[in-house]
Amino acid sequence: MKTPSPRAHIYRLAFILLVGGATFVFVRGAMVPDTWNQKRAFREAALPEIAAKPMKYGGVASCAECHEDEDEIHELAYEDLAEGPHSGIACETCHGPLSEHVKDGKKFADATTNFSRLACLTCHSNLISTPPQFPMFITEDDVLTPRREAELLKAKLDAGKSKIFIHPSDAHNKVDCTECHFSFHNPETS
Amino acid sequence: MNLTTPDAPPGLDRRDFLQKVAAGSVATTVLLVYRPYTSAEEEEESDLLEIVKEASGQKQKPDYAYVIDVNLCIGAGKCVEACNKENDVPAGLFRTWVERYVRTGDGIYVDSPNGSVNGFIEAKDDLVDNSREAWFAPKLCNHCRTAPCIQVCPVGATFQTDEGFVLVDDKHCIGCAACVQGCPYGSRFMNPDTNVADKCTWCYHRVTKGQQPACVEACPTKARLFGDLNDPESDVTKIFKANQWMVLKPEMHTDSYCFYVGMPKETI
Repeated sequence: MKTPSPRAHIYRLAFILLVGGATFVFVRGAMVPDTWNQKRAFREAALPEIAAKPMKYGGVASCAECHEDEDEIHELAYEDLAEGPHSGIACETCHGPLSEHVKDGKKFADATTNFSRLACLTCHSNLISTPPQFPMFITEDDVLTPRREAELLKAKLDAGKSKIFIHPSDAHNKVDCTECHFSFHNPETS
Repeated sequence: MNLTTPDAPPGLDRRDFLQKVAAGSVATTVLLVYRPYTSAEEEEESDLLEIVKEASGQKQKPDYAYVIDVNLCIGAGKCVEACNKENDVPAGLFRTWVERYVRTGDGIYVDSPNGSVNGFIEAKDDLVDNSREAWFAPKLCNHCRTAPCIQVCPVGATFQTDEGFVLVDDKHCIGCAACVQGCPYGSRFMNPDTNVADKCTWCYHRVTKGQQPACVEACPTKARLFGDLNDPESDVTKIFKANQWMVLKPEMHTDSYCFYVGMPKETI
């Protein structure tokens, strides 16, 4: 029988290390993404992927693309919005996102138009946590806590004019706001 | 007289040896202490480089920040609605939400009914009667500069861009939810549709196209502002000149980039 080489155990070990190392390098190479940023540990290709997501809200400019000088409703709206208290609000805040109204540059559904009291009261209801300087719908027979009343009074004095609309108690609780305030866009005009 | 001992190597006497040791220790000490540039000088130099770069017309990268003015938030929930629609957030989960804080004599009551997506109705009567202060606190991902979620992600699926966006790479995420636990602000959640971590991106897909994030766009009172701190004309830069601000949980040292103006310090 041939005597094995006295260094056989070393050769075996070297062989195992070599094969193991090669397997590790191969597997790791296959698992690390192509655009891996070694320094900051992220996949660079993810950035354009996230940025490519389609937008749903188009911004005020996207509304004006079609609605400027097209129909009288929006002519009026633009006039009211130019100086009214709602002038800073984007169209889509109340009318919903562009993607629910326009597809591939064409209208496919009506934009949201909500004439109910809730459309106004979502913002203008009198909650204790609403900032006191914000215009709020309060009826005369609403019971305010003394703290709230003082807070509202102070805000009123600070603003120099009444921003708190106290409504007569009788008629108003069951009437839509738009019965009297004809324009949503500038309710102060009517 | 010969001072060398019989054992010493030839040509090295005791005096020589001691002199060399002394010189060697002085030289070593000096080399260890002395630096051609101190780090402060280096920093100054890099600042100068930035200024030179700017002057020569190379545009600085934007440094985005988010500002929330609590004095203006009315809790209408338009931001939450816009965010949910813009980002297809599954029902019942929120990338941004609005909390109502009511401080009473007995403690602080916090709620956020359905993330406030439909706004708020008045708090319970006893809370209203006992309230000493009440306010709305909009919440979202703080896009921290030293974000715990990035630290704990085992696969590098969440990262920060040079402009400050903390993003999730949903193709690389393994869905272990370590980041959901790691976030001190509760801004992350597991998306049941994709089974990976999900969070506010500051609408990266909008900002890269020159638009504002959907929540900022939809806010009716401009309580939410987003902009570039390197631009002296942006809304966020201006508000820092005029107002006191704070961040949520400063004790976590996350270096948050969502700044709150006029917020009572009880808010967590």
